Amino acid sequence: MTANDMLGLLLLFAFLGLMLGSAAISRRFPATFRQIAAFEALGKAIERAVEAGERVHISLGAGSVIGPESAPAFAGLAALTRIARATSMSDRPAVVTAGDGAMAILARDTLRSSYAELGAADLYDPTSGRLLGPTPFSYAAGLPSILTNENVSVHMLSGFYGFEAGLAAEFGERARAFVIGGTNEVQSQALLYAVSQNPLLGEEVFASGAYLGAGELHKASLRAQDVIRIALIVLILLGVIRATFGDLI
Amino acid sequence: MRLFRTSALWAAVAAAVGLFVLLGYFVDFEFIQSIRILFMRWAALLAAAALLVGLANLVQVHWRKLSLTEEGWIYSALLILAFLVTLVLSLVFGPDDEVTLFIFNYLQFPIEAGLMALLSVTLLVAGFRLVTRRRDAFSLLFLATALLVMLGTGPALLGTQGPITVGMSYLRLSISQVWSAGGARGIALGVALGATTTGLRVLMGADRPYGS
Amino acid sequence: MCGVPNHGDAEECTNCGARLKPLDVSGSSEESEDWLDRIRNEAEELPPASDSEGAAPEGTAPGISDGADDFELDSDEPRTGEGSSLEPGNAGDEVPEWLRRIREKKAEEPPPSDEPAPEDALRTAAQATDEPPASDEPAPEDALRTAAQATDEPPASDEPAPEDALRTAAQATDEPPVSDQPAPDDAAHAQAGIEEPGGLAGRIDRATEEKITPKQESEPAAVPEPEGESPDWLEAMESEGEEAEGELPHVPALVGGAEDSADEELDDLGLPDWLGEIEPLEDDSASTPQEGSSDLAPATLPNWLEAMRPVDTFRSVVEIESEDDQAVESVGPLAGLSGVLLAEPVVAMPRTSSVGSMQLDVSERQYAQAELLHKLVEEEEQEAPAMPKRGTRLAVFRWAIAAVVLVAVSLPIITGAPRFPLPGLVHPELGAFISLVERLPAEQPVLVVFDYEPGYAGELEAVSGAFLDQMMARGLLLASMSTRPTGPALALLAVEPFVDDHGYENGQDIVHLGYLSGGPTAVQLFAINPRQAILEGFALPEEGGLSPWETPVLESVEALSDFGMVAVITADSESARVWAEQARPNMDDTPLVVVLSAGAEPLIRPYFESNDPKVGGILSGLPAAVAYELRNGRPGLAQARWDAFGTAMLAAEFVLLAGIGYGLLIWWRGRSTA
Repeated sequence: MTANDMLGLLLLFAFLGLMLGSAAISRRFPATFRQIAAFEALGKAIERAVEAGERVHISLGAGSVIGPESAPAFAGLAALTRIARATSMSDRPAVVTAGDGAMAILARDTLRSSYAELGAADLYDPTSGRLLGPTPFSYAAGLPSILTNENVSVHMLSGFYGFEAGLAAEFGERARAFVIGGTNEVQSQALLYAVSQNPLLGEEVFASGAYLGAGELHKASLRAQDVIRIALIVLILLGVIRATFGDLI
Repeated sequence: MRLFRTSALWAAVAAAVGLFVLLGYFVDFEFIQSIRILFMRWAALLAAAALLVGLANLVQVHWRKLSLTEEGWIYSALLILAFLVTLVLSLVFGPDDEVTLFIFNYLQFPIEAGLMALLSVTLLVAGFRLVTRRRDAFSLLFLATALLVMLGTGPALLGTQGPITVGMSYLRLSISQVWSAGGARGIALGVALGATTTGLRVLMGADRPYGS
Repeated sequence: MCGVPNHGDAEECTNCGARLKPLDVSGSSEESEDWLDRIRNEAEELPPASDSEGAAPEGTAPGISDGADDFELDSDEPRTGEGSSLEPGNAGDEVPEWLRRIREKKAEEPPPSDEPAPEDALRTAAQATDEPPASDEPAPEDALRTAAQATDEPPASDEPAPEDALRTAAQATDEPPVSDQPAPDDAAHAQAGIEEPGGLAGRIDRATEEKITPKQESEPAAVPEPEGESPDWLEAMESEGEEAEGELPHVPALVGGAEDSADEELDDLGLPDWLGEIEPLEDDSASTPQEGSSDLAPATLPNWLEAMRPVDTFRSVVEIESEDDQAVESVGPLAGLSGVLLAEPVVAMPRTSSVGSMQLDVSERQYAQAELLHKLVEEEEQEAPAMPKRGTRLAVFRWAIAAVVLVAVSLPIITGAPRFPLPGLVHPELGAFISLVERLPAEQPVLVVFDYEPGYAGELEAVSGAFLDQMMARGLLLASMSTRPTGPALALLAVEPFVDDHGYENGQDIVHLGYLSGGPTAVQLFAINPRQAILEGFALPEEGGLSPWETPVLESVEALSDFGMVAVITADSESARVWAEQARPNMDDTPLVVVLSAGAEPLIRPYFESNDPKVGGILSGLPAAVAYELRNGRPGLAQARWDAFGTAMLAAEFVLLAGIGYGLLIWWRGRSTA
């Protein structure tokens, strides 16, 4: 085991400890997070959709389950558990699409278990979790038919997207839906910033669970991220100082 | 009374598999490595199988739309037709046959290239409307940066050797390789932190995308 | 009444003859009998009053006993609803605190000559109930419940809490009580007649706690206004009360009178919110047609309430007889006095109609609260501004911009003009990239990974063309693969222009490994053991029938490190990162280079510029590709697209500048207009 391996393992355990510790103290020291306008607007948009009998669409992108690009889609699935509950009283339950077969299966499982927990298993429709297309652009090309034909008024992008993120968001805007989008791909975030009214920048896409109330561990995750982030910033600053003035000291 | 709930069992299985794969990155024990590679092969196989399940779901969804003649059913009919034709031809001739490649070269390729062209227009329209829709300093900064990078990248200035060209080229490199790269790296670090916690939640069974 | 002490068991005052023991005013808390039946019985026992009173009667008294409980509360002890200090046993022995206080106040005031004392007592008693109830139900819920009163909901028989009296008094329903009372929240929401969307209920409750409660605390209770001329102090109170009432939204004061003054005088009693529900009865009495005018402005009724309002019985009728016609009080502490304003009909809000439970009796107070509630709900229900309709203007913009781009791209292709000079400045790292390719050993194959989608082919084929051309010009053995299903076909398209030029033969000089299924996981597997990860090739020569690993290109390759170089052509940084992080550790000294879309370059650059670089070279962007072709001495796709690229970039810059100008113009016009 190399020093880098040790460091990586240490970081993982630190994450784990911080998350569990934050969750343990959350009752005594409840977390307070900054406001993210996009999430606030999302809550209202979902309520409006439920009241109007319109649909919420969650797009998990074209990322595969077995890879780092699955993380934002998992965050989207965590948000889906909450959204499924919120939309369970709607005539039109939420619909989820993915560009990967395995992710589509997970989306269906998430919907099914969410409805089952609510005691509304009959709401589950196997076609509510779909594979739209096996390639990124075929996935994007399949979006307009859902957005326009199925009365979607909330279009949430949470997954891995390449440049097709711009198209995916634009199709939502054209369908006059509320569009909120986040991804782990930085260059796609730039596209979402330009096209979408409510872009999620940086790691905000991973905060959706915490902001939508998916569980205490989601909030604890944000706390853990903040602690590790501060530690990284300090380390980077120390590295910069050492690299700059190392010879002088 | 069952000792374990089924969901808890699946969560335990998922956590154990994830733990082995994760440990394999850091620990060089033979046993863990072999287990990790085994699990990864299974994952690759299952991903391919999941693609088939996903395609079946795709056909199911559109078949239902077609049979119920829901709005847009004609597109569903076209999709099913194209799917079946491509599938049959690929199975009969193979994926690398000229017939199959013909479908790719003259149907799929132009369509996807066309979508990319549509994206360029979409981005330009979005850029045009950005200041109108979101009137703040960041939008102006965003567009100003884009303009500078495009000026430094495009042939209009690159072909000349004057001081403006050199200055613009330097500015473009400074933006893309210093400011943009630094900012992007910071964002990527944040994304990595978020991805790590998301993965850990799945490993702990707190998030169960496989259902509960 | 006279103040002379009497024996505890005495039923009537030995001095003035007034009744000392009220008629069962405390039974509500101690007796388990049905309260409504009891009240009805009491009502039957009441001596017949005037004609107008005779119209009030059945079902009037539901609140009497509980209300009397409230009246007697004067101490700071929290009210439990279980007992009452006005027990028959102690009623006559000592003067109740509330009565003593009233007397003190009366003594301080200039005695209004014709103002009947009982009225004062009633008002005081009504306000003495300011004591916060010890009920578990929070006051806002009561406010909610009362605000929407049009209900046929019967009170629970086993809840003698003041809320019941209030609810019952206000509802004045003739329906028999049932014990299955709905939960307060449900009742409030159901009565409000508002369908709550989503989690609105919780928000309403919260909002009510936050907003209604302070309002109510600041709003004193209304008291009945006597007929005829009001005393000065009462008029003063009325004027103050009207000011205070003005805080209520939309609803003009119906009986503003003594509210504020009552608050000031009886401040220590602290009117609980729920008690406010009694006042409507008194308000109603003050707004009877006899008075000739009403401050109620019908136009202020919210629509939903207007719809529920039965017009004929919107107000209950409480007619106060002239003093001459008034009967002598025969029960309670005021027994024997004439001209007493009867508490029973006032508290119980007698109603003349037996129309049924669908009728709605809404007082000003309730109305105001309902209005407030409605506003709260309305805020929640307020729809977000509808998405602006995409008008024709945007469509025109979109078409115009598309036309500009189309013309800009096609103009150089069709007309050959304008022409842009080829780039003279090339980043120094391109030189390092080219020299790396030049140094590659000829006997080791180069693995080229085509990890992009067809949409990116336009850019990446042009950028990678010079690179492929250079390798083929050197006669390097090439192997291609992809982690995308469409990658193998794209690889064929990308190398096709150079295969013929350089005489490459499929299976001999170049081999296509095809699609590697499994994404990043498969990349790891491939890096560990390439031969096990890919078993079959793509578009191999038919006559060979060999595995790709048995072709002359790959026969010497057992591991990833056996390749001379690994080049990844990709448009997204994630793919490049996967190869740099997952495969690089298994490559030993084999260099990894990436050919990138321009947008992905900043994210991969750290892998190239670090002290221990995982990426040995980066090639990205059309200008670099043109420079590469110039260096190779063979023009390719990059140069062919250079002019169109230039005009398209200019068009894009023009559009963005126009957008900035347009946005600023709109902003400036908006400010000017404002």
